[in-house]
Amino acid sequence: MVVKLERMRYFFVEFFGEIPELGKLIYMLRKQIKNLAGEIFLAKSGVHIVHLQENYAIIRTSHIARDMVEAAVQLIGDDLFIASVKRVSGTIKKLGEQFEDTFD
Amino acid sequence: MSWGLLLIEPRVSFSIDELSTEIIDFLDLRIVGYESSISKLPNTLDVELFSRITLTENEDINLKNIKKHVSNNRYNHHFLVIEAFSAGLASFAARDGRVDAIRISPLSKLKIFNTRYGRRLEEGDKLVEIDISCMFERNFAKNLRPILRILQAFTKCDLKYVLSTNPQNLMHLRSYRGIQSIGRIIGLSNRQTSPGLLLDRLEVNKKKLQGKIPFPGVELE
Repeated sequence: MVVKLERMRYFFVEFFGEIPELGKLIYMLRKQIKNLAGEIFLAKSGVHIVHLQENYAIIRTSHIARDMVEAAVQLIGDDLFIASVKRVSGTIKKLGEQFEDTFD
Repeated sequence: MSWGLLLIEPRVSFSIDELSTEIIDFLDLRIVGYESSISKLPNTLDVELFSRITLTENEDINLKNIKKHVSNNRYNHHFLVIEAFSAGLASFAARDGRVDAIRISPLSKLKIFNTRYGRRLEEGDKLVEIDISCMFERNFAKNLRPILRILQAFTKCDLKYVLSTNPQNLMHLRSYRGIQSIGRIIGLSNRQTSPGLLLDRLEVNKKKLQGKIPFPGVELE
């Protein structure tokens, strides 16, 4: 069986407090990953915000950067909001099944 | 100087039955204020509070009077932690049965917290609290280095860890799963930092304060 070298991981992230804008969120996340692991790792991680709605977001990243991105999500919160990872999944479909009520 | 902290463990029930959030962290209520911090929490949360105290070595708390401080505070708090900067106090903390955990912060010295000391903690069944608040600062490498060196020295010992972000504000609280994810990138596995280790200790101490465990190993119903 052929296994992809780079597999995707999807994070379901919930926000408490003031919900950040998309631009601010991606800027803070990329900055934090760069701070933790460097520019090369940031390029390898392929971090991307798939969906942002109300008080939750779905973040996509490579499986090699799973731990680092999960830690970065915890560290991005400031005095205005807290970001908390609820679930990590390999497919967005599976994530959708687990959060049926939240998804549109 | 003693400082009072509370451990807040809200259990949030979402619409998804399987999921629940547990925030297990210590909030310094001397700074935040009890009323303001609790009133900000949503009413739906089932909050369980535990009190803890950290005895940090300084001019007032030293090797001469530590026994007095420990005996005064043991039966007022659920969790007693010692932050030692000298070998004498660290040695006392490792062997005294009333002390629950040892705190490791960026100010801790590798000279004291070495592998040999780790083995003594293992024998005494002590928890090791790691302060990872420095990771929330801008340039944390300098402060993280002493912690990493101590953790490297402790790798040969089978120790149980508790992670704390030392929050000064309610918005600095993180879920324990989130804190564990930060712990993973500094080399601590989820098994080593399981919240169950802390909760088990708190449950036993809670029973001790209620008088249900008069002696170690004896439990009254």
